[in-house]
Amino acid sequence: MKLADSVFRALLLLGAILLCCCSEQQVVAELRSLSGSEDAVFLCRDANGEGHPYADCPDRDPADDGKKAKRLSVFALVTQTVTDEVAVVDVSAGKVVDVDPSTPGFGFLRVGGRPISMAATPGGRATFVATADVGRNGIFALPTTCLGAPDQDKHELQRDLTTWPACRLDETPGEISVLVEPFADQAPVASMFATQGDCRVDDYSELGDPEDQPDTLPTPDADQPARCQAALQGEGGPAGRRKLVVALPDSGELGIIDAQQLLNTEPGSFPRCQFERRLKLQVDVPSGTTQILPADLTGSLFADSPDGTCVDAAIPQATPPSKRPPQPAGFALADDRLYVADRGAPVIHVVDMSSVCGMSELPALLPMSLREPQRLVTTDRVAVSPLTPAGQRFAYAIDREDQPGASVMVFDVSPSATDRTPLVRSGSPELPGEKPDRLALGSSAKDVAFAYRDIPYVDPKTGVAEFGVGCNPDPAADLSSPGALARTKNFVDGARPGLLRGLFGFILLTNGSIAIVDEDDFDKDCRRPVSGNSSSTPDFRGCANDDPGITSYALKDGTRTVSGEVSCRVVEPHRFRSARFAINDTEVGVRAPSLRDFPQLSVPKAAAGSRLEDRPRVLAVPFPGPKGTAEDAIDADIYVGATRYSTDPKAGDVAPVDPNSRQSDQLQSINMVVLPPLEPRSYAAEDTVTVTYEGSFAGDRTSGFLDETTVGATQATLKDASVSYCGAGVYDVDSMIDYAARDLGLSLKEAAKFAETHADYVQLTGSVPAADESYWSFSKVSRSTCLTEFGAADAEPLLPAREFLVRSAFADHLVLESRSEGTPWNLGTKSADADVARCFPTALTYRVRASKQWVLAHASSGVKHDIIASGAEGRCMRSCDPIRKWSRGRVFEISSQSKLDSKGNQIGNCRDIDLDANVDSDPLDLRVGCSLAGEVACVFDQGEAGSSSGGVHPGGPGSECIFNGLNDRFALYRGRLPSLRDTVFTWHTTGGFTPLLMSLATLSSVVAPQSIQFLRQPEQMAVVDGASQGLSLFSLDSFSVVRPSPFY
Amino acid sequence: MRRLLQLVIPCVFLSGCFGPGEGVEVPQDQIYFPVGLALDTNANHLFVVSSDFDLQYNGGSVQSYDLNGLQTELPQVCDVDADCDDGASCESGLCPCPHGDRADSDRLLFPGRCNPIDPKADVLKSHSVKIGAFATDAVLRQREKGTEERLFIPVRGDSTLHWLDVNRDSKGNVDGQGELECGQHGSSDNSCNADHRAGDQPSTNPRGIKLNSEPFAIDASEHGDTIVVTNQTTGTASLFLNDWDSRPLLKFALANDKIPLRPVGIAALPQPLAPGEDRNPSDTFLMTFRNSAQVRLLRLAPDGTPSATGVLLSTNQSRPYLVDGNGVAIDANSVGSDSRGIAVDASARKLAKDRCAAGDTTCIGAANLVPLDVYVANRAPSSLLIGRTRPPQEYPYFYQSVPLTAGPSRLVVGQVTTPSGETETRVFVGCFDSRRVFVYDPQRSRIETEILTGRGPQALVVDPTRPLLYVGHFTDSYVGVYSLDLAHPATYGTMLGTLGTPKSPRASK
Repeated sequence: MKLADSVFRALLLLGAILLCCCSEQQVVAELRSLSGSEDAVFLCRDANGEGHPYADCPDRDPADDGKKAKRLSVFALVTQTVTDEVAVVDVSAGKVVDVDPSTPGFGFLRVGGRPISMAATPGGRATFVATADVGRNGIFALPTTCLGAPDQDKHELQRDLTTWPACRLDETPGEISVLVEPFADQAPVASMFATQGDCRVDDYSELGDPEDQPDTLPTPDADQPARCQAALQGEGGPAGRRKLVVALPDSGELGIIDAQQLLNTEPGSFPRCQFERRLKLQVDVPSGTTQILPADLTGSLFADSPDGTCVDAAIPQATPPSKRPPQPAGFALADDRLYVADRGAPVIHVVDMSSVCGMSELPALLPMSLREPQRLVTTDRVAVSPLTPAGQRFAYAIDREDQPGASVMVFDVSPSATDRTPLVRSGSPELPGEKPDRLALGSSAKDVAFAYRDIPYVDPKTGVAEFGVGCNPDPAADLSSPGALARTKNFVDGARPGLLRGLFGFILLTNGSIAIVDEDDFDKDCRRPVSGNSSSTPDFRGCANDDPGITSYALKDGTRTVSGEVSCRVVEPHRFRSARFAINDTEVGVRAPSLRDFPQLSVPKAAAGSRLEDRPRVLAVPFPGPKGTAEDAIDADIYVGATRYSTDPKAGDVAPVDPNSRQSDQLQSINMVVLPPLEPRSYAAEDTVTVTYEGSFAGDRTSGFLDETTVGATQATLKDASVSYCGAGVYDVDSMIDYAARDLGLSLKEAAKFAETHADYVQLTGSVPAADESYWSFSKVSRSTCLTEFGAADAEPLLPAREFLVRSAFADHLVLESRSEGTPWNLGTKSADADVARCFPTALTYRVRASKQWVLAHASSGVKHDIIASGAEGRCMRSCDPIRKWSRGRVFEISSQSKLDSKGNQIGNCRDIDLDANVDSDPLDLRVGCSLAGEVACVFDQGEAGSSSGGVHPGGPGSECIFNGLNDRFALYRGRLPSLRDTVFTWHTTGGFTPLLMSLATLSSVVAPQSIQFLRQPEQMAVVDGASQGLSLFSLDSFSVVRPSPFY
Repeated sequence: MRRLLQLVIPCVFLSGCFGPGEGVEVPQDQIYFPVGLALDTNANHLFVVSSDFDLQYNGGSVQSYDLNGLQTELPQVCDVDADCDDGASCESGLCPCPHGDRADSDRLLFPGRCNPIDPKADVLKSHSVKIGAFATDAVLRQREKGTEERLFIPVRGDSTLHWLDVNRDSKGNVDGQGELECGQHGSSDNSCNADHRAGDQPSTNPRGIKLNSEPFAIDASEHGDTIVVTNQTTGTASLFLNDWDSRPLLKFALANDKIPLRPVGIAALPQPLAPGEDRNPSDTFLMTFRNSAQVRLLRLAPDGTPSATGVLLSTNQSRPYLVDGNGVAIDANSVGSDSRGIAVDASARKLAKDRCAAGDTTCIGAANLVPLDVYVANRAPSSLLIGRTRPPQEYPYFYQSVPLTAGPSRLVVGQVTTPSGETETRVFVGCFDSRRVFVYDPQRSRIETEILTGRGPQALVVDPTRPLLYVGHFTDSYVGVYSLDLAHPATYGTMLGTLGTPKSPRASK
């Protein structure tokens, strides 16, 4: 027995060892059954396989699940363009359905070549699939009862092409949709278009009276297997005859096919499709149609513009009627109107479908582009929103050929709307990177959808939850009213970025992201600053027209009735929704634009040993008040990290505004800028800002060529096909005159003098050819002569002989003049003296620099400027277009007024560096450098030593040179030593705009999203991906994919 | 496929070891791992560039075939029996095959109903020469205002650009008979001589440079004056200038730290002719990369003034170079890197220009502002990127991405014949891994059909005079001929004939 035990134990041990040896790490490979997914429809299906209206699903009441016909499940059908199939997904069960279990791998429903579009009947009894392959165009009908594997009991045959009722088309179909034609009393009625045949409007008389149907159907047998057909008689949804609307792009028509007639077709027979109606779409673009501009895009930036208009401003104008025929593309249905995108013509067709058989075209929407009025704008997808409580309805359409990527236009299609052109939003000057009439977010738009969603608050008095109630910020409102209940609470409840209550747009981007657009956010009134502004002129927070009775949106106990965000432009219709509060708060953290650090100064090597007081400073400046004077200036808050600084001298942490302040070590040493809160969207999420003295702003160019026909001794034309000088923002002499006169307030005479020294210049940065180059063997000028004249390319600083004034700038060339004495361009081939043409014989390497001024650049958006190419020659000129209101990138340093004695010595309220050593006073007094002789702009009086003026103030002397940008507000004071080229202030910002996005890319980086739709019942967005993710469902609460999706 | 890779990967490493004159002579009458196809200007001849990717031979080859002769070897497309000669029946849109039907069992790997066409058939009047091993592509150009035609072939084995005069007899006279001339007549193995290889002689340019290793993609300006070859491992774009009176010379190699290391596609932009002016000396190219989601623009910077004919001098002394014009990001895809082929369609601009009356400079100027369509085969994800330039800027912006199946590689723009007999533009994208050529209809913005090909569709060329697409099947070493005649939808996109007997790679047997 013991032996047996031992043997048993030994065997057990051996077995265990062997098992261990065999237990390798299992590698689970995910099989992907869906491929080339493109379109999807969702169906509600009971356990018998019968279809139901989608609104009946999902089945939330399990009480009656004992009856198969009551157990409802959501199914999705997804087109498979690679395998020419329709995939079936049981969404409720969380699995892809294999309709052919007899063969390995997933089997789907085989249809004709390239299924491109699908539509289901309202009652869910059948789905229609349009297929588009050469010679095999058609429409297949998939009865809902046949979506699963063949039923052996019914002797159903394997699903294949001959399973389905289908008809063939003589041309390629496009989008399809199922609409409802109301039943008529008499059937069929005579057609309005007799030549097209009759359009059936009867109550399915061909199917017979339901009362006459036998109680039991004959049991199918092997000789008579059950056929996949469906009767639409009595299906759920609106009463009426189901009609299939088919886009026919090649003929520019819409066709109507009776759905039941198609379903009655003998499976496998593939007869020609019978159109009951065909509507030839029209392309009627009335001449003279213009887009309606908001107030901030009209008029001129220049007060002296003729008639107050600006010739540079984009002229909104519909493109003239085109010869291109219509090519109907995507559909969207709202009430009785079918909106049809058009890939060929610049229209979005609007078809009255109140009677499908009598469909007629209404005046079309007119896609056009404000920025590119000559471009013919075509569309391929369109979506229409539900009606908002305010009676508004919007349409989105994708401008597929917009650049740099397909964008989205918004149309107002409210019942009362008359404008047929894309909406032009107000606030565009504050968003210079945005096209005023387009929604775009870095990647091409692929599809669009709307979601209308409400989470009503119950009125405790009435017990009624009223839909569509907006948040009420009025401190006088009843705290228990639904509007007050919707207010932000502790930043986690109530109005907040992550709560979608209202109407929102969704844009599916080709990079896999889904951007959310505010259309009608019910909570928008509670997303704002606490302070009010009853004036009609927006304040620096973007607030205007507030209730005069409300100066502060807070209760008496200090509780805010609003979110307390920094701007009134946090939620704006037709703009991307922010992912977070725009607020800097100890509770929330740093979420609004703020500084990561104090601005840092970097000086070139030549100034490395200079003292603090010798160097320039940037300092904060308060915002102007209503009167624009120093007295009513409004103090600005600046967050540096989590610390709040204020220009208010009484604040705990004071932001320096006075260059001579000696209040603390910090105030006399740090630099500071203000980040204006006007438009949070104008800030990048993270950014780096540099302000560079005589900064280079057009990049390091390597392909400049001198125009041999114009080059003379003192003037030359530089051509470079790789850059647009106007696009880069080159200020030539004339542009600088204009700037000095308009913006700095100089007389024309003073401005002309100013421009001669402040217009941009070109600096040659390349080397003369190497000593061993064969070029020197036949060049008259020697290399050493060239080096003597122009110096080496790595000299620091480069010799002034390499600098040339931009006399005139054009889009493709610059007219340059020698800036230093005796630097010739071209002395001819016989001269042995150095000149540019022969010392730099090939393409010129160069930079374009600002002169005696600073250049402000954002890493996110570059250097802003207001220069455009004008006229046939493409001359670079300043633009008067209001959209360039904030396009400023030049900073002029402020100097202190100085007086000279009769000998020309400095005796005024600034300290000349040469005198410094002899002055027996605090070296940190009078730190603002002296104005130069004849300098009239950007000068103020910093006061006597020890009695500082406090720096420049709004409205005071030198205030014309306060840099008041969209994202930066500061004054830059000259140090006692002259500023040196490439001296740089740098600061970093955070808390900029972050759009609220959902993303397929969280699942896989390789995605090719194709379509998006809103599923009203689970309040989810369904996204079809053509690459790897198949079908994904996104929650509108978590903004992430809902398990068990994705289905692939 | 894995076995094929097992073959190809060693080849990549061994490619620098090729020594002419060693090993087994390449059979010059066979198509062997075809990598490049080209047609002569009048579409009378098809030129097939064979490589030696399995190291079996000591070189590659170029063959020319008479396309009129080839057409007699293809079955006639038909709708009814009456369309076929001699009372033969019309089956599935085809009259009987001239050389009989292929066995059904063979059609799985090698589609097409008909038995293969023997490349040595007399009717094809073939010519051939031997070139270096591991050629990668081919481009043919005709001289401006001339009749001379040249075939340019990058060859990885010896890192050169081979160049061949075509349709010229041994005396140099243009005869249009599909002959190949590359100095082979004096050699014992019919191989191109050293003068017909460019890029391997530093003494022929003032910069003393040689062509970098791994030349891959090639394209040339409209009349073959400027040629750019990408070097797929060094991030280099190599500039050749072609002097039609002598030979092409390597002039410059552009590489900098901004150019990604894996350029694999190149396409020339058409000349932006200004009204009444000579041609612009700055030819422009677009380059794609495997390892970066961008398309980069390169522009020729000539040295000195073009000659009176507008042709750049390619003498030893001239020092032209390429300017890196920066790139545009590909953001129409989720990843966007791994771009392969690139093609530019200027047909809309040409059409606009053709409509202008002679001397109507305003009209010509406006025509030059018609955008160019740019297409890129991208693998992240597998897709066709559709872009457009915004004149006068030459950078393309990609606004649409059309999903494809695995392995999109090369693409070409060509014409199909419509039922009315007119031609329409299509884009053909070969998907190497999934054995498909997708046909995209730009006018209707849709995939028109997908052609199921044999294994490894690599080189593509569309016949401008016949509704035919020629596809070089790399894996099984033959050229497939596919119908592009929409008047016969039953056979549209199907293989009509197989030039060369399909032969699986040795290791995959």
